[in-house]
Amino acid sequence: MTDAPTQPTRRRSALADVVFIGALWKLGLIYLILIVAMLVALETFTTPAHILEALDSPAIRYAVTLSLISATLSTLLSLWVAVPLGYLLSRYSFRGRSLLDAIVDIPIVLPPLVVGLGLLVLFQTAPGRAIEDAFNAVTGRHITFDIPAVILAQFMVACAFAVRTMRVTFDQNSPRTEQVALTLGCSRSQAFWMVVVPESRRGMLTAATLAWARSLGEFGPVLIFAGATRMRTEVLPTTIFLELSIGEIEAAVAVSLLMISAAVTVLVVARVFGLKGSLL
Amino acid sequence: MRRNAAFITNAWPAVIVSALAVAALVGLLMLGSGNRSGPRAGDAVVFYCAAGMSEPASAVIAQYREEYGVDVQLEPAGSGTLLSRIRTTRPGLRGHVYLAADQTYIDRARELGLVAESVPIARIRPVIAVAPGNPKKIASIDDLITGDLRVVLANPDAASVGRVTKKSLEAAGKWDRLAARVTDGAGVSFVGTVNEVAVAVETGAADAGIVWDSVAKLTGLESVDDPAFSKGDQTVTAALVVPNDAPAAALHFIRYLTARDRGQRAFADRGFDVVADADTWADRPTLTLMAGAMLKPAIDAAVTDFERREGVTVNRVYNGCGILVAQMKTGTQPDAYFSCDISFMTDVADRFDPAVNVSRNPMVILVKPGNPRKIRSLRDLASSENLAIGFAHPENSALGALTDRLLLRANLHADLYARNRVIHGDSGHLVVNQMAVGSLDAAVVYRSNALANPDNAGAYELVAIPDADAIATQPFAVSKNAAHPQLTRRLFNAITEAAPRERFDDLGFQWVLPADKAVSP
Repeated sequence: MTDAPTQPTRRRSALADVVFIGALWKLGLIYLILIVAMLVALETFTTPAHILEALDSPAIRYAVTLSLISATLSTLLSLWVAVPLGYLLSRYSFRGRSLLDAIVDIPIVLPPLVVGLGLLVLFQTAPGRAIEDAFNAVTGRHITFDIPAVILAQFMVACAFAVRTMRVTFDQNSPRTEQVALTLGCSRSQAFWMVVVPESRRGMLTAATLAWARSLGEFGPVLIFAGATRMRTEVLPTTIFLELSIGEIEAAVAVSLLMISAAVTVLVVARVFGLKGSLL
Repeated sequence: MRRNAAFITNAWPAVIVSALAVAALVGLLMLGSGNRSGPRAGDAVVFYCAAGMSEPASAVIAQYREEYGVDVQLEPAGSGTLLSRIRTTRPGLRGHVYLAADQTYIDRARELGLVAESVPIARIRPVIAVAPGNPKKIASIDDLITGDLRVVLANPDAASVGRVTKKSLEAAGKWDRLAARVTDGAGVSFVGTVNEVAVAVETGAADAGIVWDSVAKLTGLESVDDPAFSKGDQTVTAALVVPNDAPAAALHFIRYLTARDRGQRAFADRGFDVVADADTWADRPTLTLMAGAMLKPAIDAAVTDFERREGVTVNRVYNGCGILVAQMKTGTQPDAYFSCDISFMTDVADRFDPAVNVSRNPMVILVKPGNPRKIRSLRDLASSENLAIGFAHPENSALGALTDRLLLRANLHADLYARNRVIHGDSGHLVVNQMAVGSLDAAVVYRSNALANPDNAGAYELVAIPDADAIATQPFAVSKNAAHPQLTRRLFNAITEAAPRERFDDLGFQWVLPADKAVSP
């Protein structure tokens, strides 16, 4: 590791490269095979009939729609918080920055159930109730045990991952280009929107994907804070959890496979478009 | 300032794109969850109303029309007459809502399959109504029997007050003598409704009549109590007439009619003694139901049907009962709680009206086919060595908590854990799955867990646990401060009706709720 390669002969280097790349592939493949094997194993626990039955149920179709929409909404919200917060944490050093940094990690380390419980308690307090009442007056909907609770619960955890990713992205982008823009007469905000944001597009895409995937899989906080009301707050992972907890493995697996295919489709499409640059 | 402006200019595209995306997504969500099912102008509700209640009822109808633009067509008559009308009219042409002056009519209609949901409004009792100042100095029923007075009574077959009068006076041994005066033509006559009795006394056509206390108050007549009527209290009750294709509109009106801050107030203002636990009004009320996850397959479909039928929203929170209790302790108070076991009710019992036990689920020991280790009891489990034994989680699940308690009580806990490898699963079903794939030697689960999946039949054998405590009992309770106690009780009825009950049987639960048992009557 510490020795830099010292003029190896071409043949030796070519052979070494093959061995090296082969080793990388082997290590990587172990994980890929594990994932695929797991899916195949899951497949044995269900039949096309079960999947069709799941797709045929309006409640499951609703759960699919709600999952996709709520995850996208919480991703959007997460990005609007993660980009500024990640930028501030990365570019500015100030007293208490490490504390802030640690606070951002709390939703990641907290057991999901506690996140849900925390939100529930928060909305029982006087200010929480006031917010809930104000929200109800404007929209006619509630937050607790309603769809906003689903989005909020997903956002709480997803956003932490997005902030982490954006922070790393900004850390890795050199502040030089930004400084050049400033010396060329840009205001800070112009530099931010015209230089920093385009530069960190890949990072944003990663942050968005991570936040979206995380939101889609979230169920602990959702179960506690939003309940599991069919056709209202039941998202796919809650369906799966509840089916499993009553021993309906086949149904749970069928729904899981639906969720996996929806997620893979969206993620692949997002990556293809995102890397072409037509997203954001 | 300039910087702010620049920020906005530069942020514009991102803001617009995000806002559009959010709007589109929220719009999609709204599309998916539009579920308002209250009444619309044009839905006509035909309301069969006991004559004595027609005055407050008209006031409620006027208020309802003002608030929701829905016309309710009032058809007043004696409670018995109305019941006959329901019986003799074809479904479809019948009224939708039946308000009887006493619950007996509602009960009879229910036996005949003519009404479904019913809600109490007020308590009334018969009194002797006399002209103001009581010019004839009437003091009791005896004066009506012996004196030379003109008396008007409501017909016992047509009007509720007549029926109750007859029943009360029969009990007091005075009915025959009073009725005899009718046949004698000696100044006692029958009329069709309580209102006609009141009018007769008001106009001086009669010296006395027997009416509801509320009717006497309303018409300004003086009432005279008689001990014969001390047990004559009746409950004014409104009920949904069935069959009904679109019950939500009629139930919406029934909820309005019986709400403490709407219809019931009109009754209270007119001197009715209204029932205490009436619902608070909400156009589309929301209930929160917490239930053990294992109960979901038994009740969820019934809850959805209930929502549609009543035009209400029931938020459901399913989880392990330990977690549900923790949620309640954070201050989240559900309107109803259906617990996996009594042990998960005691901690929060003070928040609820007395619970009603609905079903039971006995526990069993699962062993490998052929029972190679000869396990016949929990004691055998504790005295064996090196077994992989699966229990449910002792804190998160009722099953685990019960298992722990059984072992502790029999003094087997320490031995069993010391000599064997105990694996805690999250729920009984997970333990059964581990047993089915062969990774456990024995397990303690509910019978319903073990029988849930017929594919597992050859994977284990069941050994009964002959202990009265080896059984979980599922109680249902209604919150003490529920905003909609009547609606919550109807939810309970919906969950425990015949069809949902079959679901419980299919899932391996034993039904323990006695027939006709309502929560905290």
